[in-house]
This record gives sequence, structure tokens and C-alpha cells, in this order.
Amino acid sequence: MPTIDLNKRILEYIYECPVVENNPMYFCVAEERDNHNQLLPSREQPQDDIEYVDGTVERTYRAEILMYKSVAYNPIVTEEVGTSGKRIPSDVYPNENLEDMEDGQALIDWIKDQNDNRHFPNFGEYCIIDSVKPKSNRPILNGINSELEPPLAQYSVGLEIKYLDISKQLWKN
Amino acid sequence: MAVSQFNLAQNQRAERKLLLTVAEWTEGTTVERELLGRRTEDSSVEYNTDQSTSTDILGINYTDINKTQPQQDFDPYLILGGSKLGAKLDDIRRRNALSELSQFTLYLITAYIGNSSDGYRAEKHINCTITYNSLGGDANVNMPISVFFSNNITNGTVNKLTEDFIFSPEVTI
Repeated sequence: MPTIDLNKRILEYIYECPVVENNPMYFCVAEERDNHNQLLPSREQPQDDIEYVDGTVERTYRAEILMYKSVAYNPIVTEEVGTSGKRIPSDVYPNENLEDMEDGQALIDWIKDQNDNRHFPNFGEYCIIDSVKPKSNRPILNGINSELEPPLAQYSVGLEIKYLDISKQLWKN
Repeated sequence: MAVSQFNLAQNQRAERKLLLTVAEWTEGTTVERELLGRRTEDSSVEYNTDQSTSTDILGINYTDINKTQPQQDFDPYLILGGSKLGAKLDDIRRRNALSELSQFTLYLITAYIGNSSDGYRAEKHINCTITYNSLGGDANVNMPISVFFSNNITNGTVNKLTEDFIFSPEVTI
């Protein structure tokens, strides 16, 4: 049975996403720079596997896609008061933080669309993929590294792939 | 084949996948077969013994087994793409053609006895019944089934663990 490098297949798959394809993608270790992305596989625990009576095993591949984005310190709403008496949104500076969050959201929406359309990564002939889903409906801000220039925010999008490993079944179709 | 040793190392446990239940039926002139237990985590043949016990004046019990009614449940039995038996049962259900539920042959293959050279020990039950118990579920459509073995048994071997196996009845000398 040929060994399939699942990480490679996931990287190829994620790279099809428009918000990711034009930026550098790293695996495990990344150079933290604006618009760099990183695939970080999570621990896959054998005890989470579900074994079926026919010898097939349902497994889950989990990973985080980390997105590095420079941060803005501009207010969304200025102190300036409009004619209505309310503070008005800043239109001088487009807010970069919001746009960066939208990139993460676009990746999540893309993953959901792929699942709906059953467009899955290729895990080879011995794996049947059931679903590819994001682990949350919104990107998560893990933190900001203000020691870098410019300061970088790290957003994460969780990925969960459920697949059936049929390599150990005795019965051959 | 004489009574065999299990094809297992000393104290080695037989993996569940070594016990296979295969359904067979005819579709026109074609014989179809399908392994049962896809996506089923736990399923056992229940022998449902009918027993009567008497106690003599010394307090000793004597138990007679009048009959067994072997039955095996598969829950979940998911509606899966490519499942010929699932399609067959769903067609019977749709037409409420209940008599067609009792036209199956079942093979119970004990693959921990025998090997690929000499064949795997199997018992063939003809005129068996397969029933669907419900239809529905939560995320996926589930149609749990029960199979009822007829006890009209021919013992023998199958030469391989694929749909096109050849069943060879035991020859008693």
C-alpha cells in the first residue's frame, strides 16, 4: 500500500483557496511576516479513531491554519462627532484589522463551500473522505506580537477532516 | 475440513474483522453479494436460545436447548453510495414487498479459521430474512437492519474474501 503524505495533500488543497494562493505558505515553522500563512497539524490521537466491524477505521485529521497579519492601531469609530450628534466612523484610514479578519473568514467560508460541493483533498485510494470542516465559524485571534516591526497578529482557522481508512479491511470490493 | 485450530498465535485475540457476515441474493440472473457492517462499530450474532430447565428431587438442574434463532443487528446501517443491498432493501421497503425480505442467503465466514490457501471456514444459511427496522437518524440517513439466520446450514469454506468468492461445501467421508 503506497504511503500518502496527508500533510502534502492538505497543503495542495488549501492552496486552492483564493485568499491563500497568493501568499507564502509554510508548514509547521513559519517566518512571521505580514500575509504569511502556516499549516500546523494538530495531534491526531489513535484513541479518537472509531473502529468498525469490517476493519475500516474512521480517523480525524486536525490542523490549524495560522495567518499572520500586520495590525493597525486606528480606531473604527473616531472621536469626531457628526451632525447627528453621534461619533462617525473613520473613513480616513481603512481599518486593516477588519480586512485581515475577513481574509480568515473567507478561508472558513471556502472550506465550508468545498465540503458542501464535496470537493475534498486527495488522500489516495485507501481513504474515503467524509467531510472537511472548519473548527469554528469565525477566525480566532491568537495574539499579537508587538516586538516585530510591523506588529503582527496571528489568526487561526481550524480544519477538521474526517476520513475512513479502508486499508486494513480484509474484504476487498 | 476437520475441526481446526484457530489461525492465531498463542493468546492472540481474533480481530473483529475476521468474522464476516455476507448477504447474497439474485437480481435477475445475477448473483449479488455484500459484506454487512460498513460503519457499524459493534454487531454480534445473537443465538436466542429457547431453553427449558427442569430440576430433579436432588436439586440438580437439567437444561435442554430446544432451538436457536440466530439473529444479527446492524445499527447503524447507513444509506451509503454504492451499497447494492441498501438499494435492494430500500426498493423492497418502498414497494412494501415484504415477502422479498426472506429470499436472502447469508454466509457467516470465520476468517480466523483457515487461510487463503485452504480457504476460510464458512457456514451458508439459505432462505434467510433481512428486515429494515427504521429509517431516519440525525446527520446521516440510517436504516438499521436485522438479519435472521435460517439455520438451514451448509458448512464449507470460501476460497477468498471478496464478493466473487466460491463456496465449497464440506465433504463428509
